[in-house]
Amino acid sequence: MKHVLALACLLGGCVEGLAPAEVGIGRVVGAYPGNVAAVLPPMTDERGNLFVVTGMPDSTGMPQPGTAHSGGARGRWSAGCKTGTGTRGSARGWIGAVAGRGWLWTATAIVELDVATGQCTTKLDTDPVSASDVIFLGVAPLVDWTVSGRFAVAIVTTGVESKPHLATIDLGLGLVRTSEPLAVTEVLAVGADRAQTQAGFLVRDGSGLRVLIARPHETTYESIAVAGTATARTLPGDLAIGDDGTIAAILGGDAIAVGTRAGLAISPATFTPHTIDRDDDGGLWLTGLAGTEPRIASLRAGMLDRSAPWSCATRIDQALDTGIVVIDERGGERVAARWRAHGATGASALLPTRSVPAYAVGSRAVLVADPPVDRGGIAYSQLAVVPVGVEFQ
Amino acid sequence: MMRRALLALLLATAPAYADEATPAPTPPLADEATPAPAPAVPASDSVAKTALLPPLRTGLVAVTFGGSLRPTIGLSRHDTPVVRDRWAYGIAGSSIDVGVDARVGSHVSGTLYVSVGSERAPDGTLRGRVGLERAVVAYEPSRLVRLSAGKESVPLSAQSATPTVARVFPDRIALDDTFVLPADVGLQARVTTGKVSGFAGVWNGIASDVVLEPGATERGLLYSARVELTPLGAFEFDEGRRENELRIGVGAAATYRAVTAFTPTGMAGVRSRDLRAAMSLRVAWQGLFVQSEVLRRQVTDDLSMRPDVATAAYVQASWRFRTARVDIAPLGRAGLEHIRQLSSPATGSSLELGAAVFPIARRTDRLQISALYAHVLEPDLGLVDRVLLQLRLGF
Repeated sequence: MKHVLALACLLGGCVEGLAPAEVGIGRVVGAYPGNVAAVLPPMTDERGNLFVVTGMPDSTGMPQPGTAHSGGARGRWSAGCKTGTGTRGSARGWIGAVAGRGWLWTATAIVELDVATGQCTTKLDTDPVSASDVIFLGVAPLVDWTVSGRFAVAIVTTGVESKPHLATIDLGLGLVRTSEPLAVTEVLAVGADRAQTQAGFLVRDGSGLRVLIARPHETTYESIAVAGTATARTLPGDLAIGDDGTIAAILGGDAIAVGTRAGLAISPATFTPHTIDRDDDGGLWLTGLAGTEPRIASLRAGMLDRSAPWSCATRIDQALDTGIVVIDERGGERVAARWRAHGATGASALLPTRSVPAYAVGSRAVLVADPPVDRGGIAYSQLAVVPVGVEFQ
Repeated sequence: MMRRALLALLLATAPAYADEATPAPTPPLADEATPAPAPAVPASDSVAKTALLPPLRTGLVAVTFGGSLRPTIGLSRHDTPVVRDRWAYGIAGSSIDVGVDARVGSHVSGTLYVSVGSERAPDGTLRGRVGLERAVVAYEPSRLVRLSAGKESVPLSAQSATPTVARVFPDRIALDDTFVLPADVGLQARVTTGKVSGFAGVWNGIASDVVLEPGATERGLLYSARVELTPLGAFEFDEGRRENELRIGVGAAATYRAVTAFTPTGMAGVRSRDLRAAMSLRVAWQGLFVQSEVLRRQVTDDLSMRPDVATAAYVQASWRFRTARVDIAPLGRAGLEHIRQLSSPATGSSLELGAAVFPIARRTDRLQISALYAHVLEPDLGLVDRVLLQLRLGF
């Protein structure tokens, strides 16, 4: 009987991921300044490779140019490279990561990180056709992986063409494949439905706000009206598309736009929204803070439900503060240490400015920091990536 | 017929070397149509089973030469919006496998098997490949027991345990690549009776399909075991051969490997456990051959907290029947796989239909012509329709 059970276990699957609020082993990335050392959460590709970008936010919440690192799923971190220079050289968002490569976007370029070489490559800072500078207003967090390459969707302008265009980008070759002019003045939120390979942008044009749904290889797009007005955040907010058809986006002034393909409406949130997370079943969740308390609310059938305390986020913060094990493998040898850690992307580890991509089923990778050390008047912390089990309720 | 087949091979291989000389465009067209050939995984006695020429004997030593030619032409259509890459064709599945089997007396033998074909380089271009697929020395104290040492395939799935030359299908099902382990160096014991065959092996465990950091290596022994019960008697060596009597085979296999990765500087790094298992059912009767398997893979490590779990199942069937002049075997195969189930889930599937023709079946089964259409959903890359035409000549 024991053998039968062992075989059933083997074939049925006795391997499990992290339990809700369980904290895994951290991997040290490097030392960076600021109590909040980064705005964006870590990114993961399908193989488990990690991509981290730092950038301390200024008083408006705009991140400063930072350092991007890539880490192999089975070990090693790259030395890191600068995302850019000046106020436009900071990382505004992740585009995605597949097969050992990750891409982030700044206002003036796309930066490709390669796990195998540890190198960063700046792409599309100049349009190879018009030889003019490219300005990125928003890039959807979506990489379409095909036999022909990796493609993304963005809203861009160029130095010689101030009119925004909806552009399809070949991330490998670093060029714009297709572009379609838009009557857009501002991009307020970006997002994607990776399961359906759809990119979403909440934009403002002459008639108000609307959501554009586009696909990486199509010049046409779907336009959805948004009733109401709102301001933009410093960085474009999260936009998400749920499996049930719900579309939601975070805007400035603690407002959110919620609805379906029939239309969205703007309403105030009862707490300060940070991210819209998509769970493993395709459901959407608005997360944020009420004071210092993490809150969560379900987004279903185009409606925002009542919020509740997000106990999972609170328990993760408590577990980080109690102490976690981190491994420093940068010197070629694994050195373990125990940290009293805290979230490096904001007040709560699970609440950075942009949604945390799934690290594995039921877990997210978050960026944490150890207690800061004063170096010449600037507080420096060691940063580490830690997988944590997540429960959305 | 032999001369014609050789001529066909020469014609088919000529473009292969042209591909090698001139780098393929990006992305390459020529190597997308057919996947790189699966390494030939001959069974211990496949050379002797398939050899065309009689053994050369001198004293106690008998040397047998054998192998197979497999010119393969493929055509595929990818579901990609980039027009240039929709259609692809090529001969990347072609290979010639040559084996030498030397026996000293009745108890000791040695086998060397080399496969010459093509493979895809990391930059996507097609390049020639010469692979030492098998190099073993074996000792057979009795007809039931065989002990071997050297490099050979690790028998996990029924597909990987079946020699390439013995398969009625022109290639393995694509999902098998997720589970099958590369050929490795080790020790293996085989016990074979008419009703049970069992394999147990200990392998070096270096060869792995797990992605490591560049320059890193892994150390850790790999253990394998495979058992198949055939209560009605053993199967024929060749899947395509007609069985007059009913044959049933129920098999189970597992491999286990606990390894430590060493960084390029030689320091101990991540530790991982790799557990794979397979259960198979085979039935043969009056030309009908049905095979089904369930496969499982679980790789965990002490760093990522991100288990790599995959499960797959497939069923394949062929039915060989005779016409006035040739034997024909319709082929059908369907498979479903779930990969990265606990990390980044993706699903793949395949449906394949085709036929194998044995043009000179009245005299020999050495010549087989197969055509196979496959409708494949690749887990990460989407839909592809593929047609494969293969001539297989055993010698």
